[in-house]
Amino acid sequence: MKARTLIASFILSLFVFTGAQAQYKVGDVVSDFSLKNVDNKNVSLAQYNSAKGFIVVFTCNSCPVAQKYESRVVQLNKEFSPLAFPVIAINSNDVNVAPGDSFEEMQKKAKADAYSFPYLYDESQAVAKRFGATNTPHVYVLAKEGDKVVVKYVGAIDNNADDSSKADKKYAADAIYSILDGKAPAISATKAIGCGIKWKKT
Amino acid sequence: MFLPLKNIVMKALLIIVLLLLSSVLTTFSEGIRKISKAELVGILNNPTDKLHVVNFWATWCGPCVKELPDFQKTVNETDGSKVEFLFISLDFPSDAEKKLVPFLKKNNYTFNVCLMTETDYNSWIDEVDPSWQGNIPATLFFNRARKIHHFVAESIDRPQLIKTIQSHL
Repeated sequence: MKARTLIASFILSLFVFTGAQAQYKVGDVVSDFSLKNVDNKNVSLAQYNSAKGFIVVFTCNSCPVAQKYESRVVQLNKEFSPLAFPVIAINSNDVNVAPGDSFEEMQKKAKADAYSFPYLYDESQAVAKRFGATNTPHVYVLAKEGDKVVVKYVGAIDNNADDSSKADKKYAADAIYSILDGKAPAISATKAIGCGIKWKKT
Repeated sequence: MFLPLKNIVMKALLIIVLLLLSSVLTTFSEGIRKISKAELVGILNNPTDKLHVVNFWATWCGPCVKELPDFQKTVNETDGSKVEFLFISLDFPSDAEKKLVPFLKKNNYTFNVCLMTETDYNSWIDEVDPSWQGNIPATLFFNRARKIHHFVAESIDRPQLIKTIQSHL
C-alpha cells in the first residue's frame, strides 16, 4: 500500500514537473495566453473569432537575426492575415539583459516599422517557456481544430536568414498553404541559427 | 623575329606575375578559412583521442563576443596536444569580410576561426547535437575515442570552461 502511494506520488511529481516545462511540439494543443500589446491592450488567441490559425513569432528588437527577418514577418502578416492566419509577435527577452527590448522600445519599433500585427510583451517569460521557444526569431504555426488550437509547424521562417531572395524553402508559408489545403505540412519542424532568448538571471 | 619573341616572353612573365599577385591578394582578402557542411561533419566525427572544443559564435551575437576573451585566455593556457579548439563563425557570409576579419584583427584573436558557408542551418544543426535549437553561443566538447559528447547551448564563463575541459581530459 505504502509502495503504491509512493509510486503514485512519483508519477504525479513527474506530471507536475513536465507540466511546468511544457514545450510544444507538432500536434500539441496550445493553451491560450493574454499578453500586453504595444497599444497597452491585452491580446489573447480567443479574441480572434474568425481566425483559422495563427503565426506566432517569438522575436525581439535587439537580435540581428530577428532584424534580418523583420520585413519578412510584416510580409507574412500581409500575405496570411487575409487568409485568416494572422501574425502574433511576442518579445520575451529580459530587459535587464537586453535593454533594447523594453516595452517602450517595442512601442517605438512597432510604430517606426508600422507593424500591422500585435507585438506582445512577455514580461514574465512564461509564454516563451510554455511554448519552448529558445530563439529569436522562432515561429509556431498554429491551426484551429474545433475549439482547440494545435501546433502544426515549429521553427524557422525560411532557409536563408541573410538574404530572403536566396531562401528557396519558405517553411512557414508552405506549412500554412498545406493547412489551408487540408493537408499536414510536409516539413513540420526546422532549426535555425539565431539569438537565444535572453532569459532572466536567477 | 627577335622582338616578337621577346614580347611573348614579356607578356607571359607579366601574366605569371599578375596571376601570382592575384592569388596572393585573394588569399589575403579571403583570409578567413571557410568550412562547408561536409567538413564540419568530418570534424565532428574526428576519431582521434583528443578533446575537441568547438564554439559556435558570430560577431553579431553579444553574449558570444563577450565570452571570447575568456576562450582566448584558455586557448593560450591549454596544451594543444591534448585539446583542440575550433571557433566556427556563423556570421552572414555577405558581411564576413567587412565585419569578421576586422573584428578578429582588432581584438588580436589568434585562435582557430573558420566561417560556416552552409547557411541552410536546418541541414546541419542536428549533426552538432540533436537537442540544439540553433541558439548561440553554443559549445561542443567531444572526444569520440572516449565517447565524450558534452554540449552546452549557452554562455560559458572561464571557471566553467576550465572545469569542463579538465573533467574531460
